[in-house]
Formats: sequence, C-alpha cells, structure tokens
Amino acid sequence: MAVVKERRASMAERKPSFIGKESPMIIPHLAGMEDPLPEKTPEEVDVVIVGTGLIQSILAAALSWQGSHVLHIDKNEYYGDTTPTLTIEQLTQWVRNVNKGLIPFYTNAQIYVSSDKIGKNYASRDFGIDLVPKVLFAQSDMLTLLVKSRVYQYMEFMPLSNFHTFENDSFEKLTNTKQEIFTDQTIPLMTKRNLMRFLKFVLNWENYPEIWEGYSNKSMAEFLSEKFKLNQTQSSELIFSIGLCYNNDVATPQCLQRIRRYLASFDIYGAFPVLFSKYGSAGEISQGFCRSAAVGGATYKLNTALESYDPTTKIVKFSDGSKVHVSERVVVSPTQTPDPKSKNIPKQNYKIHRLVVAIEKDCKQWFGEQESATVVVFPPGSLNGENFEAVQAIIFGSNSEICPQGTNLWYLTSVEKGENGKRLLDLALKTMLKSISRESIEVDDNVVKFDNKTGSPVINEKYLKEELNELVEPKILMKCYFEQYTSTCPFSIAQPEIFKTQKKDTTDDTTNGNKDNGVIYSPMPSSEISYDGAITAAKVLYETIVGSDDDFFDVDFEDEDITTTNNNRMSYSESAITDDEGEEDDIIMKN
Amino acid sequence: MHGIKRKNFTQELIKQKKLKDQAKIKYYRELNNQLLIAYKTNHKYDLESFKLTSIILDLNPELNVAWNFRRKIILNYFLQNTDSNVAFDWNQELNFTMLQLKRYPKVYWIWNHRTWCLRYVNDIQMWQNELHLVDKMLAVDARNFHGWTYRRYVVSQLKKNEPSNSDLLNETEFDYTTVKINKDISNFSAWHQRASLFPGKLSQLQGYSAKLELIKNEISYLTNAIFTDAEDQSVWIYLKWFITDATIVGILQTGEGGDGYLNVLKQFEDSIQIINNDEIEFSGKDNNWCLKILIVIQTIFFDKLQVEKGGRTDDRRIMLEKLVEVDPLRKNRYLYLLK
Repeated sequence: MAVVKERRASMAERKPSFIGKESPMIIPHLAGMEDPLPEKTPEEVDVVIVGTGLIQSILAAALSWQGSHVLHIDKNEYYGDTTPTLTIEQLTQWVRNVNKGLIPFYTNAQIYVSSDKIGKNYASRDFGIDLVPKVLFAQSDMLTLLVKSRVYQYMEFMPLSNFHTFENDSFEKLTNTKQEIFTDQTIPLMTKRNLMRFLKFVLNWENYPEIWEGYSNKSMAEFLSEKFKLNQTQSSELIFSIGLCYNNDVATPQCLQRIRRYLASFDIYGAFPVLFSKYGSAGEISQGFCRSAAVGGATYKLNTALESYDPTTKIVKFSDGSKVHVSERVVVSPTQTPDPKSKNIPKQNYKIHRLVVAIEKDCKQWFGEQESATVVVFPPGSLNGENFEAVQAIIFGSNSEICPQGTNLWYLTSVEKGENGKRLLDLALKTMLKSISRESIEVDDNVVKFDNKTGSPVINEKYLKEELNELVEPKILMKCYFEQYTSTCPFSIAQPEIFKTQKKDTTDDTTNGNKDNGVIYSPMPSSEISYDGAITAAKVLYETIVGSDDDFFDVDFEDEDITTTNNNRMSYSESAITDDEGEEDDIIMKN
Repeated sequence: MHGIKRKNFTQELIKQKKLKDQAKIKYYRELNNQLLIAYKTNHKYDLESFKLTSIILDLNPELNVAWNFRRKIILNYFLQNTDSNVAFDWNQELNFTMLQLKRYPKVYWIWNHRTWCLRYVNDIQMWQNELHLVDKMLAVDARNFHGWTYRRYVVSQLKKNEPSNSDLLNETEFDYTTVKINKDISNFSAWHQRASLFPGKLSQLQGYSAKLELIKNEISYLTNAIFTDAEDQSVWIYLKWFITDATIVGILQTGEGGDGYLNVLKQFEDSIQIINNDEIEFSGKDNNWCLKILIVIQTIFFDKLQVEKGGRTDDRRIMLEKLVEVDPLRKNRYLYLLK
C-alpha cells in the first residue's frame, strides 16, 4: 500500500498539550498521533479495539475512564477508520484501496481531482474531507458527552442556523422561529396560527397522546394536514428539513421526536439548532475521544492490523508480529476484519450513497450571518419526481477550516434503494450548482451597470458571458462518490441483537479455526446526519463488555483547578460552548 | 453551563466557604456601621466618606442609604469646595454607575443615581450617549423594564434639549419598538413603549388620510400578532388599549360616514371569532383572551355606541360564564361581573 506522506495537522498538533507556560501538562502526547508507533505492544490488556472510528473511539475512552486497559489499534496511518478526515491525496488512496477490495463494505468508489488546480492553486492537505460528515444538535447526548468528558476542550465549534428546502425549483430558507413566522409577510394568517400551534405542541408532544395517538401508524404528512391543517410545502419543510427524515413512511411519533430535536436545540447556545466542529466532523470527534482515551490510559498503535484472535487462549496477533493477551473482549470494525469473507461479520444490508465535492465558489449567500455552513434538503420527489428518499446536503465554507478560502465542500447523502442513488446525487449537485451560479449573477455588480445619464441598467456583455460560462461549467476541484454499507437501518440505532449473536459464537464456535471467532464487530456508521445513535451504539458495546452501562463515562475531573479552566477558555474563545461557560464562570467568581 | 454537573462540595469545602463568608459578613457589617456613624451622627462629608460609599456600594448596590449619603457628600463637599484639587469629576461618577449597572442591571437605586447625576451634566451629546448606552442594555436584556423606563426619560430629555428633533425621535423610537417586538412578540415593555408613542406619531401626521393609513397599518400588524400567538397577553393588552384610546377612536369616528370606528371593531371581532372557533375546533375549549376582548368589544358596541341590537346578540353573559370555566383563577371576578 502506497504511503501518503502529506497529512493534515492532527488535533494534538493544532492544540498542543502545553497551554501557556505555567499550566501543567494535562494532555499527554498521543503515541501514534505525533509518533507513528509506541515502542512496544503491552503484553496484557483488558480490551483490544481494532479501528479508530467514531463509535470505537467513544468506546475506547469510556472503557479507559472506567479503568480498563485498552489497546486501540488501526491498520491505517491515520485516525478515524470508517469516519476519518482525509486530505485529497489520502482520499484518492482510499478510493484506490476500495477498488482493490482492500476495504470491505464500500463499493463503487470514484474520484476526480482537477489536476490544474489541486497541487497548484490549492494543496491536497488544504482539504479535510470526512467520509461521514455530520452536524451536532445543541441539545443531544453527543453534546452532553463532549462536555462531560471534556473532549470539547480539544475542539472548536461553529453555529449553523440556515436550513434550506428545495421545492418547486427553488431553495427556500426555513421559517421555523416565532420571530420569522410573525414577520414573514407571505404566510397567510391562519397558517401562522397553525404553524405556531404545531411548534408549541411538538415541544411536549408525548403529553398530548389524544392529539397524535390516532396517527401512530399513519404518515406524518397525513397527521399535519388533518390535525394542524398544514399544506404540503409546510409539512414537507417540517418532515424533511426540520425533522431531517428520508421519506414519508416515517411513523408520526418518530417524526415528532425528530422535529422536537431540532426545535428543542434552538436557543440553547444561541439562535441556531445545530453546531459543527471545525477541522472536520466525525473525524475530528473520533480523534477527540481517542485523545481522551489516551489520557485515561489507553495505548494507541497505528499502521497495525489484526491478524487473528484465538478465543480459547485469548491471544491476539498483529500484523507486526506482536501479540497480546486479552482478559476481556476484542472489538473489531468490519472494515478491519482479518477475514472479509467471515460469516461472523453481521450482515450490512443498508446502502448509503455519498458524494463529496470541492467547488471553487463562495456560497456565502446560503449561510447565516457570520456562519460558514448550511444544510440543504431535497424532499422525496423534488428531483424530477425521481427520488423516493430525501437527499441531504451539508455545505461547508472555508471558515470551517476544512477547505481553503474561496472554496466550499459539499457533502450529499442519499439512502435511495437500487441503483439510482448516484444519478440522483448528481442531479441534486447539478441543481445546487445551477442555483448558486444564478444567484451569483444576480449579486455581481460587474454584470449590470447603470447608465450614468438615464439611470437604466446596462448589461455588461463580457462579464455576463463569463458568468454564463461558469453557470454551464462551475469549477469542480474534486468530486468523489462511493457507496457504504451498514447494518443500521435509517433512523434506527445499532441493533443490540447483533452483538448478542456474536457473544453466542464465543462459546459455541471455537473449533472451526476462523481468524475472527469470538470478536465483537462494531457497527458501521449509519446514514444519520447528526451524531444521534453513535453514543447509544457505543453504550451497547460497553454494556456487552462491562456487563452494564451504569458507569459509562462516570468521570469526575476534580483535579482541574481554576487556572487551567481559565487558560482553556482563552485558547478556545471561538468555540460557542466555551464562551457560554465563560459567562457563567464570571458570575460564579463574582459572588 | 448546560449539561454539566454542578460540583458537589465536600464537607471540608463547605466549612471553608462558611469561614470565608463569616469574614466577609464581619467586614461588611463594620463598613455599614462606619457609614451610618459618618452619615447620621457625624455628618462627615469628605473624601474619606465618599470612598467609603464606593466600597460599600460595590459590595451591596441595594443599600439606598449609601447612595443618599453619596449624593449629600457630592452636594455638600465637592460642589461647595472651590479648591480645584477636589473638583468633582462627573464623568467618573457616571462611569461608576455604569459599571454597577453592568453587574446589576435591575437595581432601582443605580438607575436613580445615574438620573440624578445627569441633571448636573445636562448637555445634548451626553443624552445621545445615554441613548446608546440604553440600546446596549436592552440588547442584552430586551425585557428589562428599568431600561425601558430610562429610555423614555432619555428621549424626553433629548426632546427638551432639541425640540426641533422631536418628530424624528418619535419616528425612530416607534421603529425601535417594531424591531424589538418583531424579535420577541412577548416583550410587553416594547408594546407599552409603542402605546406611549403611537398617539404622538398620529398627531404628527398631517391630514386625515395619512392618519387613517397609520391606524390601518397598525390594525394589520396587530391582527398578524394575534394570529401568530393568541396565548400571549402582551398583544391582547395592547389591542385593548388600541381600541379604546381616545385619539385613535376620535380619528376613526370621523371616517366612513361616522361608522369607521364601528367597522374596525367589527373587523377585530371577526378575526377574534375565527381564532376562538379554531381553538374550540382544535382543543374543545375557548381561548380566554379571545373571550375577554370580545366582551370589551361588545361593551363598546352596546354601552358606549348604543348600537341597535337588530341582528346582533349580546353574548357577554354567555362569555362570562365560559370564562368562569376556562379561566378559573379569575373565577370570582367573572361571577361578580355576572351579577
């Protein structure tokens, strides 16, 4: 496997362990982040985790803080496994490896890199591309855990408040707050009333079963139209852009829960429902938890693959010839299995189509004020009536630090069944490109000049031609498509039964000599756009290993004194979360 | 911060905290005694006493006696003294209250002291600065009524200083309430401010049609608001004021062959009926604010305007009986009104 030399600065490099001169070293250097390998593998550990993806990293940190000795390895030279943040060069190599069949559960990977731009105007490592892009709800178990585990201190967050729905050939910005409903001149009076009533209801929906119970098995669209008299456009915004559902078949209670998630997240840290992490999504959070695990005592080894596990002797063998005795369990990412054909790997029945595109264009008009990201949703049927599932897109600008100035990263996801997924993503991409080019013409002063004498507009033909050319062919710097498989069906969490079946294997099936008998396979990333479900999956794994999840991240950081808190606050002043804490600190210190 | 467990204090920490607090309490009591002796017994108006008030007000801005003492010192010591070394720095004094307000935006005595100081530093630029200050205070907390009261005071002073600017100020202040209400429809302070500005804005306009247009715009703004949130009392209270304000009623009554006012009332009645019927359809219950305002409207119809009942029914008793049910907290008032 060719080694990619250039990589992005790791989290540990961006935020070194030493903060200021006086403060003590609170974050030990991560073996593997700064140096590729620890000096030697320990001889005896409690748990071996193979693959440094999001769920495994949360698990590693939880186990380490609970007191288990964890050896966390990854066959790649980078962190993240199924959820890494990659440079363009690393992504190209990854695509090659998928096509060589080296990475199971990914298919049809394709990449285009503009050779006259990448490596010239932009460096490969200017881009940090996530295989699993995600947004973080302000009220969610992930955010609570990031705070509780203090992993948020390694990171920086930015708000995201603009959600767009593509409907009737245009991108509508959501009207989702009382303020917007009140001031919007286009919404009829009765509709304002209905919308507001629904928004109030949904915040406490479980308390009003008389309203929704009759719709438990009916579609949400039916519920919204019959109970709240909302029309198709409004219900589609609620279901697909606020609820971020994929299709109309989602049951009413489940959809209500998803809509509430959005609304309850509003105004927790400010007038926005979600945040995103700078420098990368799931890749960044994975790294954060790995770092936390290392502080808790886990040992890290990159460039190391699992060779085999013998459940009788409890010996794990690695590709570098080393071995370790495991007292508890071995957790393996399906992508890093020693035997891709093994029947022990849970069936990965659900396909996710992903398209990521780097474009040379500033899409500021789509972002909220001072923001650098937006979510765009194509409800079912909105792409020439062809898509049965919604296409979800997250667009990041350069302030997210995952792409250089003047460029954007667009992530598009679909769970469309069958072979239509790629075409639909391309269609959605084309629609967005057309829209952004059209909007650019409207705002570009060079195209329309005003005649000095008459004051009437004169179109500058030269500029218009250039703009129209761009409209036909906007500059795409990089475009990558792939399909990923997962055992987690859309909107569900990893099924605990998967792990239970494997547990049975450990006792019954030790004789046939499979290399992976007795290991627990962790789930592949789900299609969920937020982090919901990841912690539940990690908890289920944790419970399988420890016996209960009572002490999952039951950590007390009593050691931390005011000095370090202050320092952290100053270093991370850009983060929406630390700012908030800072304010309260001031109040406490004053009294 | 949200989502973080509050630190559990160990017994040792609690003990330490109590010990620390005890020292603080002792210190504060000593200062308090010193202050009272200097003020009430010795009438000691000097620099030392002034410093003492600064220290104690920093600890407790609610202690109005200290503010009183401070003002006496300013009047009887600083302003009496011709020695330039003790010339009083009003800016510094304003700064002192400013810092206090930042920490304690809801203490009456600080606002009071600031107003007192400004009487001595009366110049137009200063009042402009005050308007900026109160802008900032209301940006932090748009529903701080101290801020709104102060804002009205500042605006009145600006008008006094520059009467020619009065109309423009009314205009910008009215727009300011629109901005604040658009941000938060439940901001009663902003609605109240709007009510105090609206008649002035009306009288500024020349000609009947211009006045009528302003009223019509306000009607549509209000209608928009009651449809957006019929549970919010701020809007209903403003509406009640709006349909009974003498200036507005006077203008309406001269239009449409004398029926202008009646027609506006009918228009509101229809909108409120729609909202209430919708509420009954959804929840099976009447909206109590709808009922209350409908009663107000009918009272104007039948008692004030002596409208011919032909075709119209007086539903006030029925509505009061409904209110007894849907608004049990004010049950006895409705029962009294029914008598």
